[in-house]
Amino acid sequence: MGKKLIITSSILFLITCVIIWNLSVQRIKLYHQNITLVEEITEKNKLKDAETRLLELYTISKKNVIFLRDLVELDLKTKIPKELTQQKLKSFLKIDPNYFQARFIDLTGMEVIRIENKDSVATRTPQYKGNRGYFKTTLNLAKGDVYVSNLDLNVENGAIEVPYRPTIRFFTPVYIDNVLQGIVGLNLNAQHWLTSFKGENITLLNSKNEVFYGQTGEELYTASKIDLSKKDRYGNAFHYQRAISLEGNQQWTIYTEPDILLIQKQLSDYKKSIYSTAAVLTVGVILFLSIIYSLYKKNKYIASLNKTIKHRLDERNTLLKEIHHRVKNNLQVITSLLSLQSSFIKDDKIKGLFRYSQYRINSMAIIHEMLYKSKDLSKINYGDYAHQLASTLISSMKGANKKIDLKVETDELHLNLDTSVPLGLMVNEIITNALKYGFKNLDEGLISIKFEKLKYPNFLMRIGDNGNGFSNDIDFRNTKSLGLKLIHMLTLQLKGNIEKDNTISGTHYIITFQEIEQIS
Amino acid sequence: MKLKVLIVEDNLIIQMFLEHIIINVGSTHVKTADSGEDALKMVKKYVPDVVLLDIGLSGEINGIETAAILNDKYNIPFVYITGNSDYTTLENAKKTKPLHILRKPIDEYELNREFEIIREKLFKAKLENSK
Repeated sequence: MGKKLIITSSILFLITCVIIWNLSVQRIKLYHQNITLVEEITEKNKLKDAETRLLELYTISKKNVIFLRDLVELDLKTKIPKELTQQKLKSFLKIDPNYFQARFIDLTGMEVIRIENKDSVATRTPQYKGNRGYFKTTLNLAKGDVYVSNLDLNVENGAIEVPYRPTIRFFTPVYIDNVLQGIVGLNLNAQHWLTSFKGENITLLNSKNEVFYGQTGEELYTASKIDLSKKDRYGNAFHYQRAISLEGNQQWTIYTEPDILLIQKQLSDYKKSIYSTAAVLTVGVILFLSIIYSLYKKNKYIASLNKTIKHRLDERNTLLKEIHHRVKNNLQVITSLLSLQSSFIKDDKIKGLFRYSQYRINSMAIIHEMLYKSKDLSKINYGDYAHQLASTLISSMKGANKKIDLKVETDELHLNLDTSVPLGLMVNEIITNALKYGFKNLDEGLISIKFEKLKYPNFLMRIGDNGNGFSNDIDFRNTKSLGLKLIHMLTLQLKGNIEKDNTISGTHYIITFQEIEQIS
Repeated sequence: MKLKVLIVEDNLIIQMFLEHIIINVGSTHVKTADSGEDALKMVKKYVPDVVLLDIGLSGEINGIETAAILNDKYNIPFVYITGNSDYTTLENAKKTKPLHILRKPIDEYELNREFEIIREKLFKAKLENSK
């Protein structure tokens, strides 16, 4: 039984542990997913913002080029001196630091107007650009279309300008009365607005997949070596990217990285709290099981103890019954011996003394008989006892053919052995006196016994007969009669008091007594 | 003619007392048994006029059971001897229709008186039977 219990509880414990830890791991996984998702959304919003800014700049730049073209067209039409146009373009560059170069190139490819921003170190002399791709492409454009160059490094005099200047060129053809005159364009300094990504951990790749802005440790202005589709073991991307299309002219890519350190810190904090919770739960389960086990053991012990106690109680009861039975039998043997002895005696007076001794012994024998038939073996129903004692005495002393009535009135009254024996002897004496003297020469009469409960442990007994009675002059406490002496002494033994009630005819006593505590 | 009495009582002192008194009453013949089984064996040969039977006999059969057999098999009248028996035992005993009931403790004077009553009852029963 004990072994089985231990196995069962161990299995239960294991199952509980598996559930607790499995749930913990699942929760951690879910949390990881959630914070990754939050991070992804944050990063993607960042990329979207960056795209919006780029597109705004792109749109503005296009508008600016259109504006400059209109300005140059108007100046050419009105044949305003070239210097004035130059001045206007200069003013334009001054108010917008995003552009570092504004040019008008004629059909031959020579720069007619060339305005440089003040921080430009390029030579101010006009150069030949007829061989450049943007020139050729723009010449073939329809009126109003804008050429947007790739994002690359600025080239001056056939060489890449140093320090590197990431550049986007916007060009549009110039017409006067539908006759192509040349092209007008702006060089956008990409570096200027790329720095607005500062602190945002954004990398920008141009359409040739070259890095133009970044903080990921990649070398600038070279082809990106990063595989953007790479994912970690949980299936989370290492990079979030966004493709930017400048009206189909250019395909750029911006990408960023999740803040892995932050995620990992949050995740480890969360792990710590979840694991400690799981550990506390596990310890709790162990405690719970051990408490249950100790209670079970205690209960088992108490049950076995109860069994032993019950067994012993049964044993004790059997023994007590046996003893009361034997006491009763022995008392009966004594009365029989007395009877036998007295049958050899001729003197009636001495015979009578033997008889009264037998009655006294019988009053005790009845108590032992009633005790072994009682439920708790320690108390007897005193009303029943008094009734039996009195009726036995009446039939013994008066015979069945004389009419002596008996009236016993009592509530449920149970008394122990130590009280029952002296009280029984007292009742025996009073009734034998009544039958012997009270109803002397009388064939009819009434013996009445009434018990009343006073404040515990006090009781009151009214006992008497309606017979002849005896003179009030006789002091019943001080007489030579053994019976009356016994009554008086037994009252004292029961810590009580006896009074003769002279108000009613016959002999009546009012006796108070206490229940004597049994010392056992 | 002597009255044949069988006394069934397991307490030998009480048995002795009863025997002593009943013999002294005169014109009686007494035999004794100390268990129900013994009594039933003796009844076959001895054929008593009356059986004095203790209710609380020890042994395989108690007084009431013995009385039932006496009634059914032999039709011998019987008298119970009872101690301070409780009410239900007494009621069960009365159902077997005893001739008389003697109460223990009993003294010589009382037993003499009761035995005369038993003798009268037996005489009446015989008269009724012979009618």
